[in-house]
Amino acid sequence: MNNASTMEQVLACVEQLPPLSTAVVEVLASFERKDVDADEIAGKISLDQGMVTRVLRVANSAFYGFNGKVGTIHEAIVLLGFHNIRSLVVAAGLIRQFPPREHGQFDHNLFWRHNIGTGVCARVLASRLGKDGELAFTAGMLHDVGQLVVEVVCPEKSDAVAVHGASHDMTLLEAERAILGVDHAAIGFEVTKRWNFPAAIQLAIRDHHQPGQESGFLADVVHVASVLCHALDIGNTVNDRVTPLSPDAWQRLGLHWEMIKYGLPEIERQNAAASLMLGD
Amino acid sequence: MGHKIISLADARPGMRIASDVCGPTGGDVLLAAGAVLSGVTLSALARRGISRLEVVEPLSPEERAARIAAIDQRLDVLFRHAGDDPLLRKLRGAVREYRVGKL
Repeated sequence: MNNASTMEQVLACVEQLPPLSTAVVEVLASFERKDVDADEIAGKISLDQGMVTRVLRVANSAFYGFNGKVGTIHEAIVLLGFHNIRSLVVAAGLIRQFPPREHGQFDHNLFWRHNIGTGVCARVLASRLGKDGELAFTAGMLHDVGQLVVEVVCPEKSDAVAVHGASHDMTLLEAERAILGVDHAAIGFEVTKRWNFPAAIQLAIRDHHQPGQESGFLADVVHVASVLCHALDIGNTVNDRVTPLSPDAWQRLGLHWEMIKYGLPEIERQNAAASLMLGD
Repeated sequence: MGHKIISLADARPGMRIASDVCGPTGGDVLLAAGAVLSGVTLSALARRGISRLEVVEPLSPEERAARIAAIDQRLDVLFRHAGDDPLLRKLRGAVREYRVGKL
């Protein structure tokens, strides 16, 4: 199958997916707006009890220090700030939107562990670099969304990629290109463009394996975060390995090893809290 | 790694907490799992009425060597395609130092 037909097939199926929830769409749009009505968005989030439960589980974790005192989304916004809550809302919304199927090769739990872990690594690195940590967290959490889309719209191809990668000790990217003719980064970019994700997040998704000069800060930080997440063995499948780290991205970010060294305990603490989003 | 519950009187600076220490009536976490006790934290826990806590038992030299070997073995698998890439070599070193430091 050639690239165009796989991409077209995926995109045609994406049109059939139920739309993203209003709360997720509005929260994503709010990253690019200054005049955000947090109360109105909170009202919409509150309508989805499953999403609220996941967000409150994290908000009540020891990490934020309000142990068990956050009872509603409105309280979460007051105590933690709308800025901190919205990344949790987007992740919780997508976890709900794409529930796991039975007997597939794709491991939803590991998928989200790697994506949440990458989000946390991106947040810690971005904060240490004096940048917007929450936007980095959101971009990191969504960076592999293309994999999830393939799994949902063409499950048999998703299985074939997993089997091919494991039997040839290939990276996921290599296996996808061999089986699909296109990779999850390109699919994720096309899909999130249709979903109107913020432009910087779209680029981070497209370029997270090979960020270039024009990819932007988010792509660079998500790239390093994803490699770091693999190195920390967070959400790895049996076949996973540490992927190449771009020296250019490292240099553009101005990272140094002390930041990594002192960031690791912080990453572990934050990851324990953010992972509470998973589970029933 | 073994854990044991000890009385506050037996707790010494340098011991590592194995599970969150909560106030006597539950509720707030006074000290999170993984924290290393100091003279100051021990006095603070005594003031808050804590009488017992769960600490991590130190590893024997053999156990420590086995843990380090397991860490290296896992890193070998994860970095199996890293070759002599200088950045990945440094990354591996940073993760190893962190893992061994936590033992």
